[in-house]
Amino acid sequence: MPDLTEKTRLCSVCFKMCRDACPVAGATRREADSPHNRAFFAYQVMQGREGLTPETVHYFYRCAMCKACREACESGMDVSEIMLASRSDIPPHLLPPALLEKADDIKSGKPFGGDSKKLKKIISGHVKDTGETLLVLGSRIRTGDGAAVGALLSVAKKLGDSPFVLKDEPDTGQVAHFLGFREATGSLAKAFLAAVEKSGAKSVVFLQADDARMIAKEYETLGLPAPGWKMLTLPEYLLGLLEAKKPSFAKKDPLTVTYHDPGGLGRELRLFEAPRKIINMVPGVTLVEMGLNRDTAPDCGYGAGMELSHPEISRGMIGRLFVHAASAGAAVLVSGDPVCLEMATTFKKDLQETVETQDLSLFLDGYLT
Amino acid sequence: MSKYILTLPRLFSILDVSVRLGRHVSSPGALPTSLLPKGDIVTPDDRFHRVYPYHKTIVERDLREVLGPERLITSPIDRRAYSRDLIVAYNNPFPPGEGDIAPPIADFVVVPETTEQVSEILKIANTHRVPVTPECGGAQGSGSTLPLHGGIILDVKGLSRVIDIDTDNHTVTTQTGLIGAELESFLNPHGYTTCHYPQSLHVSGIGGFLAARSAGVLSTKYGKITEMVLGMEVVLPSGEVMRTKAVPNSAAGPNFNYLFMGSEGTLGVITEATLIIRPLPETRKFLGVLFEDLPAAMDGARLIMRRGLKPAAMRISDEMETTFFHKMNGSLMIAMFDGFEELTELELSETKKIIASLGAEDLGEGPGKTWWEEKRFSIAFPSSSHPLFGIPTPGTIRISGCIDSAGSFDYLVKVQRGLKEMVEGMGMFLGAHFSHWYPTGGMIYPTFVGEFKIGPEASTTYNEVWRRGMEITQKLGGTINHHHGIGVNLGRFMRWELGDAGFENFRKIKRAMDPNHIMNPGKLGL
Repeated sequence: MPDLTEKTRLCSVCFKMCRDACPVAGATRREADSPHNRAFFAYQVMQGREGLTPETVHYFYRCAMCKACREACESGMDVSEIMLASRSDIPPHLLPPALLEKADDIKSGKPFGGDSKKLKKIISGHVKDTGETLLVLGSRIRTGDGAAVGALLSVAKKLGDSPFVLKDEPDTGQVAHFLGFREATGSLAKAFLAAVEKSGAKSVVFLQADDARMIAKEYETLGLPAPGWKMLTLPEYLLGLLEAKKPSFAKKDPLTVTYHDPGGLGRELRLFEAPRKIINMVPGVTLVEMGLNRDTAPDCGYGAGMELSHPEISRGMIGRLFVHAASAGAAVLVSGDPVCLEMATTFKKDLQETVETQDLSLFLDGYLT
Repeated sequence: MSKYILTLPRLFSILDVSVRLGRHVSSPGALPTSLLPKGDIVTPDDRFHRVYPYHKTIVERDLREVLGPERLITSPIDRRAYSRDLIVAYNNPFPPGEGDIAPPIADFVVVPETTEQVSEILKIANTHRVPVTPECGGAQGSGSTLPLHGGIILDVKGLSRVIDIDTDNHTVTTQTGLIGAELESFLNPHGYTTCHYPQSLHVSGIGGFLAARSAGVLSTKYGKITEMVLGMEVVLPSGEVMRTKAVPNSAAGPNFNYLFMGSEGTLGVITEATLIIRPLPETRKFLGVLFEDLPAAMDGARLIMRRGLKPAAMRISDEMETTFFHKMNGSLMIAMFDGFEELTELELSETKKIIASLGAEDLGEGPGKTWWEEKRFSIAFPSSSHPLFGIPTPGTIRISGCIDSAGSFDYLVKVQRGLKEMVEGMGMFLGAHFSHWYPTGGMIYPTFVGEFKIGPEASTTYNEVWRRGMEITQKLGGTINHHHGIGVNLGRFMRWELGDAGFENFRKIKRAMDPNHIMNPGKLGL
């Protein structure tokens, strides 16, 4: 682990310039949720002024690991790095109760539970042991209603591709990693690489941006070798198919949409333009930008697993995203990560204001002929 | 002669009753008042010998009934987060056991979402005599949002709705809990902006802007926040709700907006505001000018303002800042012009004529453009080599502050020279820049930084540099503060600012509006 003492000290004495960038602080409106305050408390713990109590630990788990603070900081400081270090192998009695309850599931790579029945039905014709293009659905998507997966398979078919899905999809370890279960992360990651290798896939498409981010950015820190297969995020895969084939789109009523940059895709993997290019291909659709976009984009609340320990914050975060989408004048909010659609589906019944949410696959499937 | 309220110790009952004796400290950070220079402590006003007895359990019950569990917070971490602003010693505390000062902690944090909730909170506070400290961004360095007497922190950031963006009439009506940059993120997609860009844009909020009479870097052209607000909604200390009309101007009695702006939460809580908005500028043009020295640069500023030009931003660095930050010798001016093409071209060319007539060096657009696009927030970001944030020498603590003031063009050079001599005489560094210009003068932004042995010397020096700084500004005829606010740190100088009659009548207004003295006690010298 790198020595984060000086970084923590600097963040803790800063003028709080990342305050407005933090999607958690933006949702909860609480002073303690400003990244700078998290660093301040972490520094107090390091200096022995505060103890590592359940309350302190639960507080450190209120970070969505979205890197918004890093992008807001001209000095490149990253409070999520400090928070990740603070979660390292926390004794079980200090963990938030929800995480303690789910610890076994997290360590086994099924943090949100098993595959949903709806999903199993949708993917049944595409489950194989080997193939060219492997779709990695992700632990959160696999428990959802499968709408985004169904749309993706339909789009792939329309554009002449037939990707496959593994029956027992291994977990990349992203949730275990970001929630501080280090030992489990290593095992899960190795098992994931081995399974993909065995499948013989030449290209691997990650639906959940945080899985792609895990491979691209975090595996190296775990000492894992770079994979030999080609890694694609969902927007990259879709754009590749669209550019290879001359697609035809149905004519529909004019529609104004806005695009949400998921943190894993945007701030981490720097993928901003491919999704916008896709949207702009569709005739009759006008893309308007939210006031918060690209590096300043809000977060849908998934928070690299924060949904497990702090669902009330997740609800606030997706709610805030809806407010910004509505303010931009969009009828539909399109996201580059189907997890955002899952978050919208999960929480919209608790929210007063919602905006119709689609992921890129659903959006395209509605137009491709 | 300044007057101070005597410091008294805080007492905590072993029963579930919090008893706070009035404690006014001149600067809460490193500053036990026993270390104030002799002669500064005078007889307290008995009517402000404040006692705040309240039964915590009952207050909590009443607040919970109004707010529900999510909007009432009592966790130690949350309460601790509100016990610091940017004032140095709480932001960068002494090491444990070496003069550490316990931060002021509130008993409750409330985060209301509606004006009605704010009203109910203040009614409860009045009923039970609980002090209330309103907070928005907490970005002040003067302790205005520190809960010196415990009680309730009322965080207005929960009031985060944009109510109406009216691009036909160029206004935005918003609740006051939005951070400045958040409001901009709602306006910009519509092609509009408030043009209010303080350096703390990403930290401070609408409520704080109004409560502290803030200024943005473009104030020369667009005004301070005071010129940008049309109407406000304020919850008075009694819980009544008052609105001032959002009209361009009026002669219907005194302008009550000005009663609440600058009151820093002592006269009520500003919950909603209607502000002017403007289209995002079509063009921006930049200019950098190197003058021989500060007086020459000040002449340039004077002539530019005399000509009737309105640069969106005009910033002069004194010789120290020009050398240290810009690596040049002399006094650097950077200017920015906003507007449609013909206007910005005209203002730029007229400015160039003026600087040519003064023999100053035209540096082109580079310095100004770089400052605006890359550096205008940079001072606020930390690094280990930064003069404000770097690691102090072992055994020492770094103290810093900004003795900002405003006055005439003549005043600005004199006060810079006076402050520089004073600060350097105390073994510290001072660099200053000048911005926020008016037809009659402008504002000085002088920052002092020094390192002192941990312990009483650091506290004494901090108090003393402020006191001497205020003496200099007063003697030369300037204001004790232009836009950073008064809080606790400068409250002790408010009598100098307003005079005896002014200050006594300010206190009368306070007593009339807040007879139980619940609103932000200990601030503004009240």
